[in-house]
Amino acid sequence: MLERASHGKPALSGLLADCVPWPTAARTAPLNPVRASLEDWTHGPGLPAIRLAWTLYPRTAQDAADWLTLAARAGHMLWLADLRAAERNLDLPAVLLAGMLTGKRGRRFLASGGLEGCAARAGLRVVWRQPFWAGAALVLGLTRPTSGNRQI
Amino acid sequence: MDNNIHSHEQWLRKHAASIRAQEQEDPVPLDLKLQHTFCVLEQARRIVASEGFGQPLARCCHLAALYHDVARFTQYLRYRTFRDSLSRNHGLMGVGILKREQRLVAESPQVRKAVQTAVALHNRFALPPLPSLMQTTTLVIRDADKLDILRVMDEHLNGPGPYCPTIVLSQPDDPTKAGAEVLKAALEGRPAAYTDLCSVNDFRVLLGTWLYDMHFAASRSSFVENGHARRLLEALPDDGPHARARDVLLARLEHVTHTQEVCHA
Repeated sequence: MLERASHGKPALSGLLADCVPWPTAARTAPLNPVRASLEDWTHGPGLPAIRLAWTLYPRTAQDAADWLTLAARAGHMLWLADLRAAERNLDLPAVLLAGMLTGKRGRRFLASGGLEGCAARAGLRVVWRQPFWAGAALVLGLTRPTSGNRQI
Repeated sequence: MDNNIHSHEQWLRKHAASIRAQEQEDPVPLDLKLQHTFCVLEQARRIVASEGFGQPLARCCHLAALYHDVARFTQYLRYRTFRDSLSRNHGLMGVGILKREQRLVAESPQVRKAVQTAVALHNRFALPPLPSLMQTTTLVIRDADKLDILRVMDEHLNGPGPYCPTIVLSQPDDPTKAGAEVLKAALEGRPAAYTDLCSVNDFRVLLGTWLYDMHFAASRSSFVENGHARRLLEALPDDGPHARARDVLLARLEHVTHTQEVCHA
């Protein structure tokens, strides 16, 4: 189910996904499934959880929101890892470096609020949050919103 | 370009309301922050009008004033504090929220950058060198913010009932405790730093030193005429460690009242 480049080797996102400090509850969830798999899972009861790592920042804002919406229909819990906007002074160097390394697409992603922005536009509810890589990246645990539940 | 920011004001109210609805323990600090936001906007409007700022500076100042504390609601909900040192830099966090919610996408790039810069830097102790529009916008917000914080502190510290500890950043109300750096700043004629606070009375002195951090004639006039700083300082005890700093600051206020000059160290 991993994304694979045409030559059969794992894509860079797959390799970097191994560096993400996933919480224990997330580690067995499918990672970066392809669209066809997500669509299949929307027809049944859905999976308990799905992981997406570094798959959102290369997309446009609308494309990323659509992808998240599809993934949220396919899985009850989403665990996402991607770029994050700075929230502390100490985050700034790493966030600026991440923006430089990921080029125009990364900077565009950060300019629209990074991973938190993406999740907000998809209307998902954050239930878990863990920055890493000196604040340049973030793991979010997300569920579909239900009334009366608390957003953190 | 005009000064109508009504849609932004509506959004801010909705945002605050949605966060307040999730607050299960004590929503009063959130209500105070919303009130503070619109009071800062009012102060910014006065400074802009009094100084005769044109466009796009006026629009930048109004939007920055409205959004300067947009992160405070999330900060309180998530971390149960308004102390950045224990949670997040609410200025940076505010920029993240503005980007996340795409609040400024309809503004010109010039206005967008100036507003984001002002929100990001409004709570810094000192500003880095900035281009003119960004700098003036940021200074207007810093002055307007301080002017309203004086009002809030005056209401709470000099009011009849007990004050919320969050308002004074949970500093101890011990009249014998005094931060040496706070007193030194007051005597030397420069603004004191939040990081040097040791007590509520230190906070009173710090607020008085903000006289040295007002950048516009309109803000200096408001600082003196509103009377909040004077009342905060006059409540300091005659025989405590803050008495000398109190007297120096009250004398400076009196001097500004008569001459409209501020003697900087």
